[in-house]
Amino acid sequence: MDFYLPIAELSVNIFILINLGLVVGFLSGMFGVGGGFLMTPLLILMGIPPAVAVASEANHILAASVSGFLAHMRRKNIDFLMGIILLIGGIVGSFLGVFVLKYLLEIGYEKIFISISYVIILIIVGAAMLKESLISLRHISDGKIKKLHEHAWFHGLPLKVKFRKSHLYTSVLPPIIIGFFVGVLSSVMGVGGGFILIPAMIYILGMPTQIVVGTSLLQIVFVTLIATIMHSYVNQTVDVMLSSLLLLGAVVGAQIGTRVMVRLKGEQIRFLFAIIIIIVASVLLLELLVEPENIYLLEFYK
Amino acid sequence: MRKSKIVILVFIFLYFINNLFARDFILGDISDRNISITASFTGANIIIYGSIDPKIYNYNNIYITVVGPKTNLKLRKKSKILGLWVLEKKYINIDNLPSYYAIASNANSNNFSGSTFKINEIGWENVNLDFPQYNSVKEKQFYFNILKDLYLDKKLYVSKLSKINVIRDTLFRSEFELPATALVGSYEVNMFLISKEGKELIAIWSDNINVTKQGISAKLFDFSKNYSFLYGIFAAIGAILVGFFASEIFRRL
Repeated sequence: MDFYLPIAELSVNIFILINLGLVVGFLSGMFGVGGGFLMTPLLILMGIPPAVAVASEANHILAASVSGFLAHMRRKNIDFLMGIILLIGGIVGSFLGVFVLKYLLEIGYEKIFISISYVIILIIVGAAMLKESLISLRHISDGKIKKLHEHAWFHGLPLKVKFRKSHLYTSVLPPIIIGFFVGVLSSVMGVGGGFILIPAMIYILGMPTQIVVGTSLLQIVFVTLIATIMHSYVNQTVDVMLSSLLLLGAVVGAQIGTRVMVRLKGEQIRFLFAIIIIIVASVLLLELLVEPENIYLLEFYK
Repeated sequence: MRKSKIVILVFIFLYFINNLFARDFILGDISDRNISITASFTGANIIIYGSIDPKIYNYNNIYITVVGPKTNLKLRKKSKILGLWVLEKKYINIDNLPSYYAIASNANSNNFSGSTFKINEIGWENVNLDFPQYNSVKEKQFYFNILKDLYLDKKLYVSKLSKINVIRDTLFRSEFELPATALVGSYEVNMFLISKEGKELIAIWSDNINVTKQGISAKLFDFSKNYSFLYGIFAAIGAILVGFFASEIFRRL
């Protein structure tokens, strides 16, 4: 059954969209990511205009992450203090990101910039996570006790605050800077930013994995809320029909994902996540390397 | 004086009669003059029926064209930079190009040279469009062919040469597929009767198809354009509510 999307101005198969939502929703519930880094490239591959895919995806991530956010809140898996500090950086960053994207659009290199950024970040994050999770998994089976977290120089910066939930006593500067960078990237790449935020929180801030997922959702909810309104207002590219169809699958998927996640160990979650990240990066890299079917591209504007 | 007036009247009368007959050489009808793009729109079939005078059929060819509303577009090229396929920064602007072009004929020749074809926009190479940056004929030809391939790929160009079957030298029918990506607006349907050597236009019949957006998809589209800020707020609130209710429902399951 096909369905006409009013803003994208084309029709798509409704079951493909719902299944896409289900799979990505499952991953988002499990890993605490909005799933935009998977969904946005897939929507573009389906033929949906990139601008519409990015904006509608922001709206979809908002709904999906509210659901996941509330589920984690009930399980008390959120460090609110840390979340708010990240968000301060995130909001500033996402506004700046809008201007970065505007500049890229003007010089005409937005697509290649976005693709290469995806590939680089996904490969670095994926490889680091894979390596770390494999080491942790081996250590657990050896019966060794792991340190709570490693201490690095930036934990000693000024403005120290006690984060009870995260078992941390650290400076607020690293989370603000991380939030800022994620905000910039999420605006430019049209994603929630969880796939960068989560590793950053685990490896840079040293937060426990179970808390990280809920806390990153707090940031994603607010960043995508701003993105939905801004994209609608400035570009009129939010297709609510598209985001609703994706949601049908995603809300179910996210709830199942959250339940599965509780049963898994942190290391196992990170291992699976790393594998998925590397697969996505490889697909994107292939897209850049393989000769396109048609070397010319038509862009309609009325 | 009187005689000359009569002569003029007779002449005018004959002219009209002649015109009247000329119009009757070809007649047509369209299955659906109004196509609505609704939520379940997956494209439409335009069926065009026609009849010609059997006495003149053997000397003439039938051409049917469907020309979509005008649009502007950018043509961009991908090139290989450091092993990566990158969309080039520069682009070519092509303005006032029909967003859809379909042609059918009982003739199987794709030679559309000559002023009769050119004036009436019969054949892809005779489609009118504005190429501001490119004036050389060779370059125009080159981009015409690229556009044709891209349009074919998107099903925005349909060519059905020698696809019109004429029953008993008088009745014929042609069917065109309008893809789901079709733009809204007025689509011009023209039927031409042209002499076999392609020089003389014997008769013409024209009509329009109106493609409009209807129902919820039209309302959403208008709302997003006219009240974009409010649309954004609603989209955001809607998403939060859906997320909230989904979470509530699953908590109880």
